[in-house]
Amino acid sequence: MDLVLEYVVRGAHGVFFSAAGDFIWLPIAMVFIGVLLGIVIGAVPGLNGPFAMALSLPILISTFGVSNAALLPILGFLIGVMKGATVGGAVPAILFNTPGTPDAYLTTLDGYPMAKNGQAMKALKIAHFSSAAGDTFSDIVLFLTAPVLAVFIERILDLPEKSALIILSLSFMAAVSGSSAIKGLIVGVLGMLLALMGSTLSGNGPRMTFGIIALGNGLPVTSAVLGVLVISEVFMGIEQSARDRLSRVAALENPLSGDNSFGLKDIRAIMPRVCTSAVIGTIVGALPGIGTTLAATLGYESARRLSKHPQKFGTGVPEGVAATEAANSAVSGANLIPVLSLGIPGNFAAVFLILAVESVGDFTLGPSLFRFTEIKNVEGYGMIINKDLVTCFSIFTLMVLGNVFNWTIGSWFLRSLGVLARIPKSVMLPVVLLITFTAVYAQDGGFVAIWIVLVFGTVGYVLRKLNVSILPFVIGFILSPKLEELVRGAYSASGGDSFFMLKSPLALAFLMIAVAIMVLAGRRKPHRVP
Amino acid sequence: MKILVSILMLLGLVVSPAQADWQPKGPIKLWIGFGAGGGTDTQARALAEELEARRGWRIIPENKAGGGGTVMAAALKEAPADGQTIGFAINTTFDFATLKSSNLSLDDFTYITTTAGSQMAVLARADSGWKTLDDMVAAAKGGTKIVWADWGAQVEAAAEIVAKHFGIKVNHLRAKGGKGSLNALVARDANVGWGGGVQRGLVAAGELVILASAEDKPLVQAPKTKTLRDYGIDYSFGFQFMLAGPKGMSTEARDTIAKAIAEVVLDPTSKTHKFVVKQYPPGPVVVAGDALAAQLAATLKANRRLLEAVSK
Amino acid sequence: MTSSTDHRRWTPNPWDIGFGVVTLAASLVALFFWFPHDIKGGFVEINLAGRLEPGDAFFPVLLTTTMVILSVVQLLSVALTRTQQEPDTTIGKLTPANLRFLLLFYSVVLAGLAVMYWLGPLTTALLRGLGIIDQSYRELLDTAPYKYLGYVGGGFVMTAGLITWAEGKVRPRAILTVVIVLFLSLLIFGILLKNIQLPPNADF
Repeated sequence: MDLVLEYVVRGAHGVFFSAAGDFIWLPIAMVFIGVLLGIVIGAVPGLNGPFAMALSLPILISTFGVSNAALLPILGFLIGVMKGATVGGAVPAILFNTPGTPDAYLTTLDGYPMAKNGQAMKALKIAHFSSAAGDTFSDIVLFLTAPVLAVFIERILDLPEKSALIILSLSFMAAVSGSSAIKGLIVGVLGMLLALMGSTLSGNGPRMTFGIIALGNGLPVTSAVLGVLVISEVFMGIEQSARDRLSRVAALENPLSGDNSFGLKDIRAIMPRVCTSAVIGTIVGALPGIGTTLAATLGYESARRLSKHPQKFGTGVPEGVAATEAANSAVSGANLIPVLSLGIPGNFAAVFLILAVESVGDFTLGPSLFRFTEIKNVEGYGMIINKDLVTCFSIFTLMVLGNVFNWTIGSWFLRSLGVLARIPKSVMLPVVLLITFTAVYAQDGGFVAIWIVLVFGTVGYVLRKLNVSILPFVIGFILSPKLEELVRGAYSASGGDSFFMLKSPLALAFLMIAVAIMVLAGRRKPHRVP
Repeated sequence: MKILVSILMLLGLVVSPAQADWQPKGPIKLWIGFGAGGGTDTQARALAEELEARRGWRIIPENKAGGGGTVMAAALKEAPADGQTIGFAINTTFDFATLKSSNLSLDDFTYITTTAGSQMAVLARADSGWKTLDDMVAAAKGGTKIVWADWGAQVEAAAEIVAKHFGIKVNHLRAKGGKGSLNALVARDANVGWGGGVQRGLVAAGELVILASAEDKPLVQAPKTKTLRDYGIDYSFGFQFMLAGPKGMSTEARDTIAKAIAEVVLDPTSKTHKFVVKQYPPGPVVVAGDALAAQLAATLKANRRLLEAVSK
Repeated sequence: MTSSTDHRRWTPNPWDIGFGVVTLAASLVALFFWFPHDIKGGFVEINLAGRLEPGDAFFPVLLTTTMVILSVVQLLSVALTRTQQEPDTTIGKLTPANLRFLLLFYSVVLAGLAVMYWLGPLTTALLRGLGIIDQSYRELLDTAPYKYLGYVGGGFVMTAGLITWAEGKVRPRAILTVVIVLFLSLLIFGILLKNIQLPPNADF
């Protein structure tokens, strides 16, 4: 227990003090700026947290470099953005009835009517309170479960089981996101295949590069992921503005005419809904690939069913706003459970945290993260310690800081943002395109990066148009090199047995569940994804 | 060891005595063949900074990672040979990887200079009681399970060659970088490990012992310990950090750059020197110009032999 | 509207079939043409240590085979879903309007990128031809103002072009925004970060 405590203390210490022992502002300041930026981005219709994380990552790497010292400031900023954006997303939904993200649609149901009734400020305060509460709850669950789960996984799972578990997560993601499970799986496999371009483990020289020298180390991950996620969004947005040429939103006449107080009495009224929703959001968040929309839907629905006056939902009841915001914010912390314990990202925000970790420093995610190595000091060599674990506790500290900022300045900042929600998409998106080009060029050193962004942007655009989810594509792309290494390792370890994965009962069980999920998903009545 | 360094420097300078007044006309791009943040990157960036400060040249470092430096080499091959694009990698990029490559060969480049060399060692924990490779082999034959920590396919193959030679079986543990393999050793995840130079402190502190040198000569820290060649394993697995340019660079450009680098690397007050001494003791290894080209050609020949021996 | 029997008749969505056909064809091409030409290692190989291990082609072939199977399943599932009563609205499609958009979008972006790439080198070549300077772009790519020319020019063409197209009119405030953004990114990428290269300087 002393050892655990020492790791925790060292982790927290690392955020506030440099290696030399001086107090440092940088990580704290980065979380602070990140939270502010996140709230702003969340409040702009059409932008969201992952979008801002995607854009800031290359800029952060250019600014801070890739040494171990850069990791905490960069992660601090990204975590700040992630947390701020979950809070900020409520602003346009409540004030202008324009949800910035699909999950915020449910916030409009009661938030906008509240604003119309003159209670805009109250709605924002409720949204902020519930959102911050949901997020905090989710983080606490993460802090407690991720280490336990990771230790458990490390004990039980060997190479074949780990490979099978990644396959299971991928098929689960393909099945739950998008309109068709099979199409989701196909693009997931496609993403995995493309990630294999370039580097080889054997030393035989690059593969699948069409002879393009610059692809010798594979497709640059940031360019590819930015292309599919961000640039395809830019394509869609510019197309829409060029078609509509009307992006004016009518401002409310009297947003503050009603009762805008928010006190203990209100908290007591909404607290039960916040709690239920936080639990729902956390559970949904811990499963890879489901995301905030389902969490928000379940949260809202449960609040309506549990309510004494369900018929009032949709007319501006505080519980409606509270339940939605608590549920979708509770996803963000729990989403890191699979990231930290398995190295598997469950949503786009997690993708960018993983990308940051992979590009900066030598921190490694996955079950071995939570090995509590005995701390030992050797003169002339240095400390023998599981540095990754210390970093992990530093990350937890950053998350706590993010929550503190969200609670303290978030509410005030949130309420001053109404103006921002009116920046037109037609200006925002081309600027985003230019910044993306600049950032990937700076990071990958050549026009190749820009071509990759464009090609992957087009792929993302086509997939969006065909109503196929791009989440499996991105996650497949990220996980594939790791899966290849695992499968190769497991195959070699089994002495060249082609059926190595079927010989382990646990791996076999994982694979069977994966198949079962696919079969069930194939039969499911297709539903439209917003 | 100072004598060694100066001899090597002399060798480099003797071969290329003419120091014409070559000056770059614009910025020099320094392409680093490995990922940002690693040991190679740190060394190259320190070097770039100090070259800039001393010579007034503008040097723009840029990472082109992948394939053990070969991705950078493939791009370097196509760059103009005006001395304004040079690459930083290790010797195996040119004298080993080119053997298996269809688009790279040793003749595609102008070789500028080396900066530092490894201290490749077979290591064990001091508490194992082993003092030499023979002790480890005896333990293995006596039933001790050997887990050998490494950091890549090439060194893993090297471990396998050693094991084959002695007729023992080893299990491999892939760690992250040279430091990772040492940590695995100390943390008892492995009982034998490779070290490329970072083991210095741990050996000095008495935590680890050097069982054998995988260089051509005994290691600085264990001058009495035998090399793999002494054991009848006819290979060495050490490596050197080095700079190269595209084929056809003028001798003046090559030698001016080599001389500027040597000045930085050999100056005990420079950041690069300090880094090299700390990470790759005993200190800088400077072999430049034609001498370097000849050395690479010789190693290439030896490596071809190694590949043939393994595939037999 | 036709008769009710006609309405219930099997009408598969062409985009649903097309998706399967395209992925099936692509994976077959990859399996039989792309990989044999572009992967040097085999499916399994004997490594330096003399052990059999999966080669460079192992995982790509495994994945592509999976794609073949999934594509066939996709096609079969379309063929077997005969009882469909109403058109499935969840299947998206690309309209001619979408393709027109892509074409226009790419024209603007590529025009911007062309300016970005060529403006600096052409300007220096011109000045050199006039005898004003005697260096090439490669020698000047770290010298202001040459090193900023392409980025600023190309960036302006691209962003201002896209905004004007999206809004259908030239709006001074939007243009001003572009100028400010360009200035800020020059400040960040070009001046504050020393060893970062703006486009197109890493390509020369």
